[in-house]
Amino acid sequence: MKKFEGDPDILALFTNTARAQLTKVNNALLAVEKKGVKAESLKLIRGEIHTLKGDSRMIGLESVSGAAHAVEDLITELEKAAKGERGKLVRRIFSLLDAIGAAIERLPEEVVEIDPAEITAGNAGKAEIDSTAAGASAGSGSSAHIGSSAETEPPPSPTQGRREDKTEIITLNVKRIEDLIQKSSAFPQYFNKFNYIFGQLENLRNEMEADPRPAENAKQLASIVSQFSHELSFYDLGSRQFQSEITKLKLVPLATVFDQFPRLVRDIAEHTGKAVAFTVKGKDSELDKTIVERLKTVLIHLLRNAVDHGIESPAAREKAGKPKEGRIVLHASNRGDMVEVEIGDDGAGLDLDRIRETAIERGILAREDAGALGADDTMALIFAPGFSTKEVGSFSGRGVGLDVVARTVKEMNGQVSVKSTRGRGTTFTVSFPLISSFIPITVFLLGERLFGIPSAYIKSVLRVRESDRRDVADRPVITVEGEDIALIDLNSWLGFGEEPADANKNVIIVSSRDEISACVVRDIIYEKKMIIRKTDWLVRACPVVMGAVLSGRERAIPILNVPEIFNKLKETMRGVVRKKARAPGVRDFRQKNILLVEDSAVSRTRQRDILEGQSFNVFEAAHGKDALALLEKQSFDVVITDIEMPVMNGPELIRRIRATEGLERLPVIVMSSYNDNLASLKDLGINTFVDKTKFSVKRLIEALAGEGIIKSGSGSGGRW
Amino acid sequence: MKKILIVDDSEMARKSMCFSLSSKRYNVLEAVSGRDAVAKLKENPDIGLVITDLNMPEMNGLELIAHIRSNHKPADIPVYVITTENKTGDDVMKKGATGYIVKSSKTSEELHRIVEKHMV
Repeated sequence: MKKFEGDPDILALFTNTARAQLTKVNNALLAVEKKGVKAESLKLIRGEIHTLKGDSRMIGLESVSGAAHAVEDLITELEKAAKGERGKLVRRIFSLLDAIGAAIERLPEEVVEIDPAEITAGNAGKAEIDSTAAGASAGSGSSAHIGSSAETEPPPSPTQGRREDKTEIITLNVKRIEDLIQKSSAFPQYFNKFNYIFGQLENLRNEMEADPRPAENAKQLASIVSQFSHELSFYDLGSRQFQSEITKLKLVPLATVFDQFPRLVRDIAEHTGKAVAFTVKGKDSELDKTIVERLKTVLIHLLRNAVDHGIESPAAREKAGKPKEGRIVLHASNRGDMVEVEIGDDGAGLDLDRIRETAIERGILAREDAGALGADDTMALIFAPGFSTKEVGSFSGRGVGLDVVARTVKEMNGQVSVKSTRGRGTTFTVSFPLISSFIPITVFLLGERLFGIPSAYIKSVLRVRESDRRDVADRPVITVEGEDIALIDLNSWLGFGEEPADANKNVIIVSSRDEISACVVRDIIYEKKMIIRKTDWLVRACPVVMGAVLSGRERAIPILNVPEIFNKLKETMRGVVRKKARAPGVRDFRQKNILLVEDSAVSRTRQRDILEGQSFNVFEAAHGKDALALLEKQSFDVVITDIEMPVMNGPELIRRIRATEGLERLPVIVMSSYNDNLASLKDLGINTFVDKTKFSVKRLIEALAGEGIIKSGSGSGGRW
Repeated sequence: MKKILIVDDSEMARKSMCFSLSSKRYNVLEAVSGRDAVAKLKENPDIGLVITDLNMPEMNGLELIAHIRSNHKPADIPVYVITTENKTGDDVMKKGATGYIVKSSKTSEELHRIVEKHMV
């Protein structure tokens, strides 16, 4: 595999330009396809392609310039071609453009060869259509699988991190930079003012040393303090304005993404045999570059749904007395510090009965609750985890991949909702904050639990041997670059018990201002840019936690507040404050461990997904004996068990649990369809019984809340 | 030292040439079209070398050469054409270009050769 060896900045400029060129060419070609060969469109295409050809030659990408040359030739052919032959030529050009787009996205890891002769209509050669779909996936690492269904989010990997490190370029408005320069000019003034106050303080100190006069000195000090507080408030305002101005540099117009959609919609429509007129409004709205990329993934899902499932086939539309061609409108508008995007179609609308049926089938809704469920609540079900299915065609209505949409939107601190009228169409509304605060977070394991720290606090990561560890003044330290650094077992400090003594330990060197310490962790899992949600109740419950991030499967990972940890450490180090076993509230916050005992893998997986969706740590066992083995190794907050199981059944398991020291009071919830034995089960000492045939998340959550495992209403992620 | 003027409507092409030249501490100016180049030449009489693209909106490369050869002082200022097509080379020489470079991964080396010839 040949790598691109050129300069990364020039490559970033090339990639950025080329994407924009391809988008323009794609849209001009769409116009040719719809409205016929017009000189204006061809001129635009030729201009852009010619520049692309030259640019790619300049950086030695002969395969791209060759393919661009082939496009030029095909445009000439298209100009001369008879009307009947144009369609095929246009499709061939689209394929070539896709191949070029795909090749560009592979850079710099791989220089892809493109053989224009191999590329025919509807086949982008070696480059697969679904990884490039109209270049709509360009640059985001997201994918636009035409006609495929729900995609699960891949686990964050180091490779993904590397992708984010790729140089990205945005175009800046000079006016914005000028504003920034103007605002930054205030900072030296602040310095002068602070320096003046500093001078006054020094004077006061000298006076006090020479001739202390407490009453007068206090008066002077009070005057300085009041000046200082006055200046501070100006500084605060100024720095905030500066910060908000700087953040705006990341804003890019939505057009960068929206312009890729006409081609995408065309391809999906062609693939699914639909006729669609697609309109885009409000693409001048601006949004954080990082958010735009995520928003794109979400909108691709929704557009695919709209074409594939929203718009009926031309025949069905005609039968319903509608125009053959369906309409899809994408409309963005600013709403304060949010951007709202609507995707509306004039298709068949949501089939509420089918949604209810599917929700019942998937265990999201209890059958007896279905009747009382209003239209809005029913529609909201399509975003529920577990509602979507990976099997293509198993559910022909909406819902494919919508849990991914809901999850992505939530990760971005946004919202998604749906409105629909049967026979008239469906509108999805997605709203996102304009500015994101994605920061790199390093996620690591302490014991069995995931925690995160903003990467900015991490100086380095090391592996240390037991022999590297010394004790200085009764405290363990390690020496890094000649400096003794206190070694802290975070897990035990947080009150979760010590990390098992390993010969080698993973250590992260954490520093904040002048403080530095080495924290022992079990393993570093990944680094990813995420938004920290500042959850008040969480921070109140546990001050060393600053918030949480949502990772895949809606799992919440607490983010440690490094300065606060140092504050607490200082207290314990000085010995002024008695060493606390753990910070107050930690135990309440940590994820609950659930042991799920169920012999049917299908039910188990479904229940696990739902429980994980509620941020539980789920451990699985196929029968009672498995469960007992796990119970020996691990502490659990609750056991959920089936009754009928091979090897060791539910009642026997419960009997053994109750006979085990320390587990006498462990909450056990029985979930089974054999509810006639309820009375005898109660005698065994079970806590709650959930009828499997009526299994729903709501019931399970109620049962867990009833056991005090969770606070009622604290279940995350659901819209029940 | 005299300045170099690079005329190309492709930002990418301009930047990669400037990038490679400014690393050798040449003083490089950019123009995005023939018309822009004419303005820059007027403002900067110390421009000693022009490198121009051919296909550009608002006065193309050949029109720019014609303008320089009939209006600029000195009229024999070296003007090189940078082109995507091999075949246009001899043609542009007839129209008054001092020489030409075909866009390729070797462009940068060619460029340095030309710049050294005229600027050192």
